[in-house]
Amino acid sequence: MTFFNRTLAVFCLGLLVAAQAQAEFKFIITRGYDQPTTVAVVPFCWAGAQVMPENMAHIISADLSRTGQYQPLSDENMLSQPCRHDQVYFRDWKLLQQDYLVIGDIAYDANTLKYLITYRLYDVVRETNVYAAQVSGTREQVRDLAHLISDGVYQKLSGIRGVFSTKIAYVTLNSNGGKPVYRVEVSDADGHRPVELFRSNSAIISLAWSADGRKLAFTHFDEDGRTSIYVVDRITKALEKLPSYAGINSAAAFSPDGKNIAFVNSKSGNAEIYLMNLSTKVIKQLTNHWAIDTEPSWSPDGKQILFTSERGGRPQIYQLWLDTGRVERLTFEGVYNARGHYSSDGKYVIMVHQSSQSFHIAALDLETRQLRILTETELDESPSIAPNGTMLVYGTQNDGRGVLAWASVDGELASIMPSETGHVREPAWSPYLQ
Amino acid sequence: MAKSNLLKIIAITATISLVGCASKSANDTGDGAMSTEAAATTTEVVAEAAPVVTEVASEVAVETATAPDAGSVATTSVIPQFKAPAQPAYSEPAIVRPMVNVVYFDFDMASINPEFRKLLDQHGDFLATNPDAKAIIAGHADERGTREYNLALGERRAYAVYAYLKLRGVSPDQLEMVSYGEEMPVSVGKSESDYAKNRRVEFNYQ
Repeated sequence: MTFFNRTLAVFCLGLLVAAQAQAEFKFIITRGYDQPTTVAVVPFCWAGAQVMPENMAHIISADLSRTGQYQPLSDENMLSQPCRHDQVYFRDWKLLQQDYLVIGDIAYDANTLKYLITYRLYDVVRETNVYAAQVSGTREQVRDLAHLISDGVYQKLSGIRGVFSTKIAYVTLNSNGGKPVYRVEVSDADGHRPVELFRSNSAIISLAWSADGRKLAFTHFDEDGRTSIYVVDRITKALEKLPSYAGINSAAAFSPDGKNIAFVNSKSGNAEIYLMNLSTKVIKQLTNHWAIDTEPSWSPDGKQILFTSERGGRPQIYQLWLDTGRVERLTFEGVYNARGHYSSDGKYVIMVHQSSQSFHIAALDLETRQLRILTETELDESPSIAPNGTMLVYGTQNDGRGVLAWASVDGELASIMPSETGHVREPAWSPYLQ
Repeated sequence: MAKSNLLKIIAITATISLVGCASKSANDTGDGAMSTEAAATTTEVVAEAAPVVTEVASEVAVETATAPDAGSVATTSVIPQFKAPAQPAYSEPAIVRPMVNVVYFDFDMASINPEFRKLLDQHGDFLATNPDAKAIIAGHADERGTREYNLALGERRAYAVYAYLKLRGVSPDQLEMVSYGEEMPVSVGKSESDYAKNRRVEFNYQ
C-alpha cells in the first residue's frame, strides 16, 4: 500500500509537471490573418557531441507563428533540410509553397565556451538570400539567441523591430493548503523561463516596468487591506518599499526618464494622482477633484499623463498636461473607459472599454479620435502594449480562471494562453531590453 | 504470455493510478477546486446573511427591548423603584454590537442603500457608546471594470459608511477606512447575484 501510494505520488507528480510545462506555453490562436506569409525554419545543423539544450528552429517557428502573420512549416513536411547556403534548392520550397526560408548552422567555440550561430533568410520566390547574420552566446543563452534570430528575421520581413527578446511580467494566484499565494513573475515573451520576484499571501496588483526594463513597481495589500507600492529589481531581486501615506497607495507608473513615479493616494479622503521623486521621495499632488482619479500613465515624451476619472459621472480617460495643468477628456464612446496607456509612438491609447455589458480592450486613434474594439473575450482588463506597438497582452477569463491573452493592434489576431493551475493576471509587457 | 500479463498489469496500474490522480488532484492540486469549495461555504454564509439582514436587525432590536424582562430584570426592574421615576433605566437597554457586519451596494455606486440604515444605526450606536471600540471599515467591489478603479470605488464605499457613522456620533479615531477593491470576492461566480454579494463594506472590529 505504501509502495503503491509512493508510486502513485511520483506518477502524479510526473503528470502534474508535464501538464504544467505544457500549460504555461500553449498559445491558442482564436482569430488570425487571412493569408499568413509562409516561412520554413529548417532545424539548425549542429555537429557537436553535446546535445543542444533547445531546438532553436522550433523556438523561432513558434515566435513567428505567435504574431499570426507567419505560418511555419513542420519538420516532417520538409523535402530537404539545408543548413548551408550551397545546400539550398529553391524548387523544394516552391513546391511546398513557402514564401521564405530560414536556415542556420551552429558552431561551438571551446575557448570562449560560446555557441556561434550563422543564419540566413531567403526569399524563395525571388531565389535570393535577403539576409545573413551571426549571433553568439553561452549554453544558458540559447533561448535568448533563438529569440534574437526571430527578431532579426521579423524585422527583415516586416520592417518592424521584433519583440521576441522582450519579457512579460504578471501576477499568479494559486492556492496552497487553502491559503492564497500571489507571485510577481517575469517570463520571456513566449511564457518560458518564468522567474519569481516576489511572493505573498495577500493580493498584488498593478505591475509597471521602468523605462530601462530593470525595475518593476507593484501594489501590495497587507492583511488589513492597507496598500503600499514596492519596487523590485528584475536582476538582483532587491526590494524597496516606497513611503506610504494614509489611504490607497497604488497604480505606480514610472516616468520615461526613470526619475519619478506617478501614483494614486487618498490621504485627502479621495483617490488623487501624485508624483513622487524616486531619489528624494518628495511628493507633489497632480489632480484635485472630488471624483476618483486613478490609473496614471505617461506619454512617451513624459509631458502628459493619462488617467481615469469619474468626474463626468462615469469612468472615462482624461489627459493632463504637466506643464500647464490643463485637463482634457479623451473618451466619449461607451459607458466605461479606464486604464488608458499610450502606444510607444504616442499615436493612440489602448484601454479597457465597456460598451454594453462586456468589458473589452479598445484602441483610440488620437488623431482621428476613432475608437476600435480589439478583443472579443469578456471581462478583459489590464492591457499592456508591446514596445513595437503591434501587439498587446491583457488579462481575461477562461473557464473561470484568469489567463493571459494577446491581440494585434490592427484587430486581426487574437490568441489566448489557457491556465491549468491557478490564475494569471495583470500582465505588463516590458520595454526593449538591453 | 508472461509479457502480455505484465503489460496488462502495467495497464491496470496505470488506470488505477490515473483514477487515483483524478481524485487526488481534486483535493490538493487544483486551485479551482480549492477556491470553489471555499466559495461554496462563503456563499452560503453570505446568502444566508444577505436576505436576513433586516430580520436579524429587528430581532436584535426586539431582544434588547425585551431585555429588562429577562437577564437584566434584577437591575432594570428594581432600580427604578429607588430612583426618580423620570429616569426609567429600561428605556436605555444595553447597546450590543450587531451580529451582521456587512452592507451591500449597487453597481458602480457608493451611496448607502436605505435598507441598511437600521443596521448602520446599530453599529453607529454601539461605536458611539463604546469609544474604545475600533473597527476597520473595508470596502469591496465586484470584478467588473479595472482593479485600480475598483480599489478607489471600494474606498469610496468605506467612506460613505464612515460619513454615515460620523453623523451618528462615532469618533473618526475609532475607524480606519481601507479598500480591497475586487481582490477579496466572497462569491466567485459571474452572475449578478454573485456580483451583488461582492459589492460591500465590512466592519472588521479590532
